[in-house]
Amino acid sequence: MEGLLELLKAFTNISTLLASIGMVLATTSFISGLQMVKGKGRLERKIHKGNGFVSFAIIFVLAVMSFATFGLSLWSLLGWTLAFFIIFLKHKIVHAKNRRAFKYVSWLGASLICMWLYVVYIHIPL
Amino acid sequence: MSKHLPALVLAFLLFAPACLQAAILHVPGDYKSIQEAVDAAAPSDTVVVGDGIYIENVVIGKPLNLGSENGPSAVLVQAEDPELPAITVSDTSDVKVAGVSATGSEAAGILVSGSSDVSVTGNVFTKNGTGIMLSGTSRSVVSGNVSSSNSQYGLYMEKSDDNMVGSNSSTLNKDKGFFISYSHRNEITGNEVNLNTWDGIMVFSSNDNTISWNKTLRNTYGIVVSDSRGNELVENTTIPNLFLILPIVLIYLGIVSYLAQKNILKAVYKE
Repeated sequence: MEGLLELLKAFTNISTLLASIGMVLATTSFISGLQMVKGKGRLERKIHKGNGFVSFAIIFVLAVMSFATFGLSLWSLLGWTLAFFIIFLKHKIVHAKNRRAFKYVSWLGASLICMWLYVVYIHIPL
Repeated sequence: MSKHLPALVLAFLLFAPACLQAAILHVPGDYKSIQEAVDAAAPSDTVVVGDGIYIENVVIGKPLNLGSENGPSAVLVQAEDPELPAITVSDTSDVKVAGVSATGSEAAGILVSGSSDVSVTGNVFTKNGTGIMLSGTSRSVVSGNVSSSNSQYGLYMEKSDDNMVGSNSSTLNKDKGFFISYSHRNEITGNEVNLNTWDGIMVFSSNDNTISWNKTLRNTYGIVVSDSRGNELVENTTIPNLFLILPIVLIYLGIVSYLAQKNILKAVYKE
């Protein structure tokens, strides 16, 4: 029971809550993206785009909150830049519609999920 | 002489308490260094340290109180010889160390050795080999201290019995938060032992200790008891797995969210 309360208490922190919502949306977007790669239709595209856009907005807010709270340090700047670079690269490849590059999109999607896992990890309070 | 004896005894009884009253020695007011004040102090005197950085290795070998004017954020004892503890309490009893910071020792921030009835309260020990080290010490209290970012242990207790370790914070140490070794009947309660590289609390070859109401979060292992018997573990929070459980729950919720959104969109676009 105490463990469950500790778990719930983690969500009183706004950045943890945002990171958690972002992780849920990124997972939804990732699954629908995989379905799109398989060639499934219109609904998957809507789910993928909608969830992807909101999760991008969340990561942007988290980055701003991080800089506002802890200031600009080299490591945090590098970390957030890497995150935005992965998102940007994935977006570029998808829109380039280059068949040779396209087969790596699911790998980039998986990288985005790993990135979100790390974002959640660093935002879990003690 | 014999007819003056009662008068002498009466005079002694009247004036002795005043003579025996503990003195307060100020550093840097009365003495330049903490060690000079400690050496000059009589048993039960109090050494009060003013704001500043004191580069020395303080050794206390008599009953006295060492405190600060404005708390641990204002007084820093930096080990002059890094191979020795910044503060050593050795072979004595009834010593209180409160409200100071100690750093820069490869040995320990504070070493309490061969002593009893020592109180280490409200201090900060950072960037030492070990934050707080008790060796052969009994009936002592270690409470309300912060021991963090040390290269080995937050607190190391060896061959020390019947002590109380409570309400301390031991975080970000490179090995263990607390390492209790060959120590018996100690009470370890209400401590926050988080984010240490290896174990939160390690109890090795130690018997009949009570470990209660501690938080050991995000260590590699929460509480480890090895080669020991009769230890009582009560109401400790050891969810080192929160950071494993939460992402799994979130991924599961993501899958559920995908299925829910798909069904909702299906229903909407059918119409």
